[in-house]
Amino acid sequence: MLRVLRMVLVFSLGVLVATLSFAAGAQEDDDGMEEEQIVLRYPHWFFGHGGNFEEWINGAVDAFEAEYPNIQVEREHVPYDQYWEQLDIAIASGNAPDVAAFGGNLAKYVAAGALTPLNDLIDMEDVERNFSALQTELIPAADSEEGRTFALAFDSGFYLPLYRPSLFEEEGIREFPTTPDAFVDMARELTAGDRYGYAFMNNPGNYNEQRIDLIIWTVGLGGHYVDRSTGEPALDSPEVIQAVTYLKELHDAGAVPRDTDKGTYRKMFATKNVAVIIDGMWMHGLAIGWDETAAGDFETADTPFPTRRVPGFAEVNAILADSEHKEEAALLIQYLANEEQQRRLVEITQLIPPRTSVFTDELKADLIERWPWYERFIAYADDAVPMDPNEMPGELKVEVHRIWGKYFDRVLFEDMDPAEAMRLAQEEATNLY
Amino acid sequence: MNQQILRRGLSRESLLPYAYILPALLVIAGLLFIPIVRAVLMSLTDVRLLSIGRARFVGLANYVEFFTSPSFTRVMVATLVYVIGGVSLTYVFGMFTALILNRDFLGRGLARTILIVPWAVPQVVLVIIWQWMLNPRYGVLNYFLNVAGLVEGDFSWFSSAPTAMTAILLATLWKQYPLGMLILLAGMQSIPRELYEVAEVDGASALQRFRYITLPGLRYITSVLLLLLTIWHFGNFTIIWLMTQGGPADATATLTIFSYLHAFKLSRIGYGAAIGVVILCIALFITVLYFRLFVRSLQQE
Repeated sequence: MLRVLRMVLVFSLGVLVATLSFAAGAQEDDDGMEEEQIVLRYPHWFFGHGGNFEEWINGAVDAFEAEYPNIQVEREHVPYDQYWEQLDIAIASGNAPDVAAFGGNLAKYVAAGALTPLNDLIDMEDVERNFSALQTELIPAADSEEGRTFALAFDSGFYLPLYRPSLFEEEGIREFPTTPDAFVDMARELTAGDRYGYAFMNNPGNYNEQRIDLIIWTVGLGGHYVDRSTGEPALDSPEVIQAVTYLKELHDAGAVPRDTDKGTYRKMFATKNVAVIIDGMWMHGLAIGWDETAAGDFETADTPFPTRRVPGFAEVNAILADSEHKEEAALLIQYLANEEQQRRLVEITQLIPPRTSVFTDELKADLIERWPWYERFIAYADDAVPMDPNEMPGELKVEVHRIWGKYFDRVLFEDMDPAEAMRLAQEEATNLY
Repeated sequence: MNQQILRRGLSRESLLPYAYILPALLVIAGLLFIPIVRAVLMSLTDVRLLSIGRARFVGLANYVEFFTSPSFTRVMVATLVYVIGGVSLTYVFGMFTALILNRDFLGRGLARTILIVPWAVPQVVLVIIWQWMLNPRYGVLNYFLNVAGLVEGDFSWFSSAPTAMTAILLATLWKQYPLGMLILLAGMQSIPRELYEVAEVDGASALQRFRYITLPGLRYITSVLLLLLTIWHFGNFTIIWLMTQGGPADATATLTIFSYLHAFKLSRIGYGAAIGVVILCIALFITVLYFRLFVRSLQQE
C-alpha cells in the first residue's frame, strides 16, 4: 500500500514539474540564462485556407519558429470574408494582434494610426534594392504625409485571361481574341448548354468582389477609377464607362453565370462549365485541386484590351501599433519575405514574389518548364499597375468601391445608362471628400 | 408628523418591492439604457471604428446626411415593403395553417411537428437552402418554374429589386410562419367550442363562424402577434444580409442592413449609430401607436 502511495506521489510530482516548466514558457539558453518565450499573434486568411496557400505559410512559420525558438507564432485563421471586420473590431477594442496581413486597404490603417512604421525596424536598404515597385512605391504612398514604410510585401499578383483550350477546340476557335468586342463575341460563341463563355462577379451587393472585374477592364482599357494625381475618384472617366458597358453587354448576352459567387464560378472554370476567366496565377493550383483534368488543359492569353496594363496588388504584413513585441514581429515579417521563403512562395503558390531578386532567369526557366502557361505571367509582371492606388484616402476607398458597385448594379439590373450611372456614382463619391 | 410619515415611507416593508426589482432594473439599465444613450451620443460624432478615441462632435450632420442620401428613399421603401410584406404574409399563412391544424384529422400530431420544423432551422442554414433552391441554373424551384413555363432560361431572382425582395420574403415567411401558426393555434384552442356548436345549430356557415367567432376570439392574440412580428421584421438582419447584402443597388437594404453596412463594413460608427437611432425612433413610434390603437381599446372592452 505504502509503495503504491509512493509511486503515485512520485508520478504526481513529475507531472507537476513538467506542467510548471511548460506553463512558465521559459527555456534556458546555452549560458543557462532564462530566455523569455514570446508569443506573436498573427491572423491571416492563408491559415486554414487549405491547398497551396496554407502549405506555404505553415511551412514558413514552422521554419521561423525553428530558427527563433524563443518566439512562438499563434496562427489565427480567419476566413477572408470575415477578416477585415474581425481585425477592425480587434483593433478598436484594444485587442489587436502583433502582426497582421493587409491588402489594398493598407492606407486606411495607416491613417488611423493602427500600424507601426517599419523604417527603423527592418533592413530598408534590402527593401529598396531587392523589392518590386509594388513594395517600394505603392507601400510608402499609403503614408500620404511622410511616405514612411508601414508594411512589407510577402506576395504580389495580377490578373490575366485564363482559358480551357479544349473548349476552344470544341467550338473551332483558333485564336484568343485581341479586342474587347471580339472578346464579347468569343464569350457568346463559347456559351452553350451547361457552359458559359466567361464569368465575372455580378452577385448583387458584393461590391468588394465586383470591383476587381471592374478594375481589370478599366485598367486594361487604359484608365483607372482613381485619379492618381489628386487621389480623387474618376468613376465617370471614359474607360470606366467603357468597362461597365462591355460587362453589361456580356451580362445581357447571357454569356456569364448569374447569382454566382466567385468561389463557385472558379470551380465552374475547373469543371469546364466556364471557358474563360480573367484571374490570377493561383488559379492553376486551385483548378487542379478541384478537377485534375485542368492540369493539361489550362492556358493563359494576352489581354484583349488596347493596353498591356494589368491591375496588380501586393499582400503585405504589418506590425500593429499596440504590439509589445515589435522587434520580434519585425523578424517574422522579414522572414516571410526572405529569399528562401519567397522562392518557396512562387514554387508552391505561383504567386509573384515581391522580392524580385529571387526571380532569377534560372528560376524563371525552371518555372516555365514546369508550367508553360506561367511564361505569360512573367512577361506581364512589369506591366502591373496598382489595383487600389494608395493616393486615394484609405478610409474612403471602401466607400468609393461600394458606390461604384451600387451604380454598376443599377446598370446591370435596372438597365440604367452606363454614362448616366457613372456620372451619378462620381457625384456621390466626390461628395465624400 | 412629517418625520413619522417619512419614516413609515422608508420602512423596510415599503422598500422591499424596490429591492426585488433592483436587479432587473440594473440589468435593463446596463443592457438597454446605457447602450441607447451611447448610441445617441455616438450618432452626434464622426467616430470611425479604427479611431474611436478621436471622435469629433458633428451635431446632426449624420442625420442630415442620411435623410438627404441618394439611398434614403430606397432604404425606406425596402424597409416598409419588407416589414409590411413579411408581417402580412406570416400572419395570413400562419392563420391558414393554424386553421387546418385546429381541425381533427388523422396524423394531426405529425403535421404539427413537420410544420414547426422551419422555426427550428438556424437562419444561416435556411438561407443556404433557399439560395440553392433559387439558383438560376441548378435550383429546384427554378426548375419547376421553368417546367411550368413561368420563367425562362436561367432566371435570376437576385437581379431585380422586386424578385430579390420576393425571394427574401419567401425565405422569411418559411422561417417565421410557424411562430404565427403556433400562437394563433393556441388562441383558437382557447375559444369555447360551445360557441361553434351553437353557431352551427343556428345554421352559420364556416366562413361566418370564422368571421364572427374565430377572428374576434383572436383579437388579443393577434395584437400581440402583430407587434412581435413587426419588431422582429424591423430588426431582422441575417436573412437579408446573407441573401443579398442589401443589393441590387440598395433595393433590399433595410434600415438594419444600411446601419450595419456603414458601421461595420465602412467603419463609420457615427453614421451607423445615427441610422440605428432612426430605427429606434420608428420602432418606438410603432409601439406607441400600437398601444393606442389595439391595447387600449382591448382594455376598454
